Amino acid sequence: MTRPVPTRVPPALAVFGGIGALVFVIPLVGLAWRTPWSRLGELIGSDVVTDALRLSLLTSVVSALLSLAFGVPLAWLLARVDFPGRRLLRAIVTLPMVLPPVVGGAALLFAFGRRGLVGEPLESVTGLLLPFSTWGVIVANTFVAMPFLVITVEGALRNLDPRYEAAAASLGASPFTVFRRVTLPMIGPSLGAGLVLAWARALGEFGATITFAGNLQGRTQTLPIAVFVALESDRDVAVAISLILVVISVIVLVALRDRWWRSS
Amino acid sequence: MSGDLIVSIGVERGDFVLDASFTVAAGETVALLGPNGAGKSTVVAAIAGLIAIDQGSIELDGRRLDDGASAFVPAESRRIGVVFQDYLLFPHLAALDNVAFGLRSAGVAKRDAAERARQWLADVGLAGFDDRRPRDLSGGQAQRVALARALALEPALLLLDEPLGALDVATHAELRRLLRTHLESFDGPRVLITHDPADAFVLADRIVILEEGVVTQTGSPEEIRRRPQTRYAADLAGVNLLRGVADDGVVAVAVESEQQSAAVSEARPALAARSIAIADRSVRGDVLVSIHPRAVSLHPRRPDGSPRNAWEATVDDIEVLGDRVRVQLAAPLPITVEITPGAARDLGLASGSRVWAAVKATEIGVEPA
Repeated sequence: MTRPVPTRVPPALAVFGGIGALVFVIPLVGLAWRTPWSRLGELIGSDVVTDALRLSLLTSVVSALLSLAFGVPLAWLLARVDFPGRRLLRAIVTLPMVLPPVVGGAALLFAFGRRGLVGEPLESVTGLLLPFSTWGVIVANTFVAMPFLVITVEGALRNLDPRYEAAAASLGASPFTVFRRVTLPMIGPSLGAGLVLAWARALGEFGATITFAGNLQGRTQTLPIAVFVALESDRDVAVAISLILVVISVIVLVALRDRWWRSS
Repeated sequence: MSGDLIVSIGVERGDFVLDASFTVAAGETVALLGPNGAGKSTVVAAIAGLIAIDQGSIELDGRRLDDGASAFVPAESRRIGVVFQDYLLFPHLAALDNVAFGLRSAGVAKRDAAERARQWLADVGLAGFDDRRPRDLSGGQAQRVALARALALEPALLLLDEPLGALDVATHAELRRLLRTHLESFDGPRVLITHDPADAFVLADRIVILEEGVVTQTGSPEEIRRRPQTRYAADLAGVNLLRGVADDGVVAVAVESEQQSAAVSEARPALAARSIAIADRSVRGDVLVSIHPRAVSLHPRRPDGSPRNAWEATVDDIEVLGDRVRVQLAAPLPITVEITPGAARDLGLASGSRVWAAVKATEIGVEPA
């Protein structure tokens, strides 16, 4: 019989770790304490909230899918192709992770606005104007969310034993077949994690969105923007929306944690 | 000739320079034998098309795969079946899908590919393992799947990189037999990369010894065993290997009456049996006995003391290799013995002289054949 040795906890670690935990627990308790539980159903059912919820879900999911469609190939290029300026490009791609989102939103405005570098020709050719439109929300979300997917997937690609891809090539698979049938499935867990991170970042996006897409209920007013606006007008609505965001986040974390984080 | 592999590989990687040339005929198995770091894996990578060579050329079945300059056929178009060192089965695919992978890539319809893959799995003794994931396979089973996967494409060349490297002793022998069968029924050239001389001796028609990026010797297993030209060759390839049948601590060794040793020959003409005592009493059945040339001592008369294996023999040949003397003994047990020049002088050895040879039972290696 082996008897497990009890872990001894140094007091300093217990105190500081405990304070660290409180940083996360206290705001949640504060939110729950302030929640008008009796009026909750009515608040959540209001137009402002349902519009924002629908818009947030739509834009965050589309942004996550766009991040997947463009971010995975980008990660592959960064991980596998030795082209000039690769390091610079990698830095630029990850920039939105550290850049204040407001600055990102401003940059998007200068590029895609009515008078912008790309915005002006884009409008004259297609008639599409990104700022203050739902597509603008999606672009802003993708701008801040895609880097999470790119760095997760690039890391996974770098860790993947290249000999599996060599084995696939020796079996007659073309480079794209190797990518599709071996590389992608083998980085599946990281791909899932990157997708969830990107989606979560898109769902919570505020600064770039409000700067680039504005605050139009039903078109660009996402849940975080609705919270910000409601804090000025009706605090109960702000609390209700916040609660929705917490619940969605918790559900996603719990549902996916075992599946992806543990296996990766 | 059509089907042959003609290799002349020049690769430079910093300090390491590989310059290896050899030819493998269709229907022939060549073992590339060498110590770690000799450049074996670079040769595999170059032939398989995973790296480009700097100089020389690689030709297979009359087709130039790489000429060190403009010509480079990518790996997926080389039609080379590779069995990789640690199998490299795709972990996300079941055994059947692993075997069918090449066929699917070649555009074979799904059902057809599955049917052929199922047949290949059965051929390597894994019928009914279709749905197993690689993580649920033993090392030996994984290696069988890897072999089936490489063969399923009906490649122009079979390239086996340390195929038996990571297996336990019992599985090793079993897989070696399987490999031998499949090598023999494969029409193209077969290249076996190994650091295990026993595998090379059992499976190969010819051995190419690679040391520090250079081919130091080429020849039949028997030639290399009898006349190793480098210290490495003498240490590894120079080991005496004998086939026999073990029972209760005694191996009846099959010895050919001709000069050739019975080590690899399957035909076994005119055999005379000689018994060798071994330490392990539990081994039974067909075995491969290995006796290191330095484990054998030579004496002017019957040695006193404990060696259970002592016999009188005629010296067939004597050869000096650096600071050692290699003595070939003739019947009843044609083996090579390595002694110091001093001992050779003291014994007054010459071709045709009679000596007593002795070897301790514990010094004899036995593995299932």
